[in-house]
Amino acid sequence: MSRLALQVALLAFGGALPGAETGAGAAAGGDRPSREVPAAAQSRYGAAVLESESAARILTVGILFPAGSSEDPPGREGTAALLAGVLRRQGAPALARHGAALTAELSESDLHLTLMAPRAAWRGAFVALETLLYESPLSGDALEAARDEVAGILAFEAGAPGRAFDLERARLLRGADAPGARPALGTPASTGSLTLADLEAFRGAHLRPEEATLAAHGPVGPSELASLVGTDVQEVVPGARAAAGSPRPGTLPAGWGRGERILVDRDLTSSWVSAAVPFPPGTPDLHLRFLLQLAREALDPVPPEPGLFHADASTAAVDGVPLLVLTASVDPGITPAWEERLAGLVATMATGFPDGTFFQLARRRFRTRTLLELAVPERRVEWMARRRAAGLPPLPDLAGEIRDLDRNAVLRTAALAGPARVIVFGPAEMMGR
Amino acid sequence: MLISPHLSLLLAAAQAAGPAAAVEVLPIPGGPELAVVRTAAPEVASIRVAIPLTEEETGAGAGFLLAAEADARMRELAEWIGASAEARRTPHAVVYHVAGAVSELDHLASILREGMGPPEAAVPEASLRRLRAEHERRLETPRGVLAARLREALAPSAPSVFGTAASLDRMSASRLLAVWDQTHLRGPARVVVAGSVPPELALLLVNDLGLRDEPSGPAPAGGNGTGSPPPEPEVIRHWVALGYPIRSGAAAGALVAARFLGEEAAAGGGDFEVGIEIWETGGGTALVVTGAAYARSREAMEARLGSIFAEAARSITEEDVRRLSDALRTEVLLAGRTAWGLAELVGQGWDAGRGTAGADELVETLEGLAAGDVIGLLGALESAAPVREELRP
Repeated sequence: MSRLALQVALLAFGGALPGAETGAGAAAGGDRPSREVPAAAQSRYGAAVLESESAARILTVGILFPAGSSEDPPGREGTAALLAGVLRRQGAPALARHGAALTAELSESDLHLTLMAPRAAWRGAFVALETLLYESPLSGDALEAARDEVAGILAFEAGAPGRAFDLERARLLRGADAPGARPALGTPASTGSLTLADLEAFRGAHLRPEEATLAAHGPVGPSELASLVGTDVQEVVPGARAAAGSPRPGTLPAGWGRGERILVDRDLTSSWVSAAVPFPPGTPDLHLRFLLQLAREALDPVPPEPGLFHADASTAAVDGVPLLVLTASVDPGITPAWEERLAGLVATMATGFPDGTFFQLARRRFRTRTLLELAVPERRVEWMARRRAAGLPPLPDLAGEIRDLDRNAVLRTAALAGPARVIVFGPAEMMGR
Repeated sequence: MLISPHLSLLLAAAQAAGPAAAVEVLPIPGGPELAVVRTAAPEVASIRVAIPLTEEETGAGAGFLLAAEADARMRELAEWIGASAEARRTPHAVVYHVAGAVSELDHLASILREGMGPPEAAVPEASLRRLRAEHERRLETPRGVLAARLREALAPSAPSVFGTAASLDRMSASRLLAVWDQTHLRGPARVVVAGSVPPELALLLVNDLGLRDEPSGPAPAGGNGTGSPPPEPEVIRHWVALGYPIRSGAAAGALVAARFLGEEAAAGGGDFEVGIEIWETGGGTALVVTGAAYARSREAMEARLGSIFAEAARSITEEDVRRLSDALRTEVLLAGRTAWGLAELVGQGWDAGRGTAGADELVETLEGLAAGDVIGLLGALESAAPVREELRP
């Protein structure tokens, strides 16, 4: 589940989101039990969780729909992105009347909407949001405005090597014909031909509350929230711990066991290289994210001239296989060295893994960065929704789990990494290939 | 961490009147002033220290340089433990701010201590170059020159925090050190601690910031610095800036009025430019109206500027006021949704003389604001004599 695809937002908020733990390997056993508060006989949403915070001035509600750009019908690429844009534009005036704001974030596998409303107005704002999502006919004016916006982005990015590289990499990781390898924003031709009927069809098929997970944080009680959302609300408090013991990840699926390398020869002045390192399904997300931090630190400092070149790491998942994706944009002449560096980074990390005080320091950094990130309400509700949707405790004792992170266990996880799938994109001749 | 001698003062803690966020102001003899904002932000805390600083013209820019140097030091240290840190110059103070895990409070305090420590022996040349470039960039355009003149007229006792050409030329390591020595003291400092931090822990923390009781040397030589050549940008249009000081207590109405005037200006048409801004200078708040027109449109622009408040008073409706005040209220509430943002909101209001409940009071006032309030303010602005600056081609 890539978090890189697209963000459509009224308000822009920084920071990446810790992904949900993948697979069933991260069991929910050993929980400090969450309080179940049955408050409504019906169940409009698939699930609803709440972290009640009486001192908060804002209620933040996240709704996670398990459908993203990969659900765009063939030839109708960009449908989900355009729908998100229409909802944002059409909803803005109605929500502004309640002093509320809406963001929409789309990936190839899901759509997450976040509503933030003042305490005194949250009920009206939520009703306005539901009316927008499930009842109001989509507006032709909003469609044209959203289409113009997308067309502007596509025109701006036309021919941009970075976008072409993203597409080639998605094809390498997901398969050339996989829905997730199609451009999330669509193409000028596809978005130009989309109609309100296309968007209504997508909305009717995929924006279904019974399939969605709702997570909220703010100054409401569970029964108060349940009465409005029409769903039993599970009130959660921080503290659930994941199952004790060493992680027991599975094995890498056959397709990921042998690695792969492709070279896309393009006449460019820079080159891009990316190595996607697979881990077995069930790899603990906490370990993966810790390895992500170490990888980022290993890539720092980045190549010279940060305005021109960069290197970074991220996580993703393809068909349940967690990936550590290492990417650099560099001068073509040094591409081979960077390819070797990225493809071998996890193995290098395993041999030079921080020890003693250095490991403790890295763990402290990891804990503080994670806690700061999840103290932002909109990131928190998204994280809670993703965990709940994955069948995990929505609000674990993250600080405790990170504090207990064991060096040898993380090292064992690093050793499970499979061979990388590598893409090199740029002028082959200048790269000495 | 030292044991605070002021724990008994916990019993005398004053409870500021905030409608929701619990702000406790803890009076500490000898300073600093301490406000504790309790939130349930899980295991995260934010600490903001403001060192009030009003510069004389001869030393203008020193606070900016102190902040720039401290910012680099603090960020480097914060990176080691994954914390956030920054130092910056505001119209009222040099602000040092850190955030991180509650379990790292002692390290957060050490980052602040390092940031608020004495400056290096040499002037931070890179920051000085950046400041000079910023200064020159502002003064090569009519807009920048007009803004500088108006700011000087509105707040003559508070020179630009970016300094002047003359003050930057005369900046030295000894002056920076002297400014630091006179200002980075316990007494005037204001500390805001936001997060799940008990007040007693906040008190201990304050004692660990390394603030001194007294300066160690004499104050740097003052006086009115002159010698900066008046900037002469190339002017093609006729530029006008009108500054209207806003009395404290009218800030909410002024914010709504400024938003409405901005919308009206954007929709107004004409081949001249009108802009509306709210300024926070060291001397107070002001509503600023600017205009720029070619010769052919100058009279139309002047007429527009002369009637802008009266026209707005005639056209603004209850619905406009509700819509704009709701949007502003939400912006304030969203800004305070994290421990970092809350500490900033409380600290900024406090620094500006509005107390620790300034943001809460702004939200409350916005909630109750009616069209009559805004129309009344527009009427007062209409009849007020503004501070006027202009540039002619």
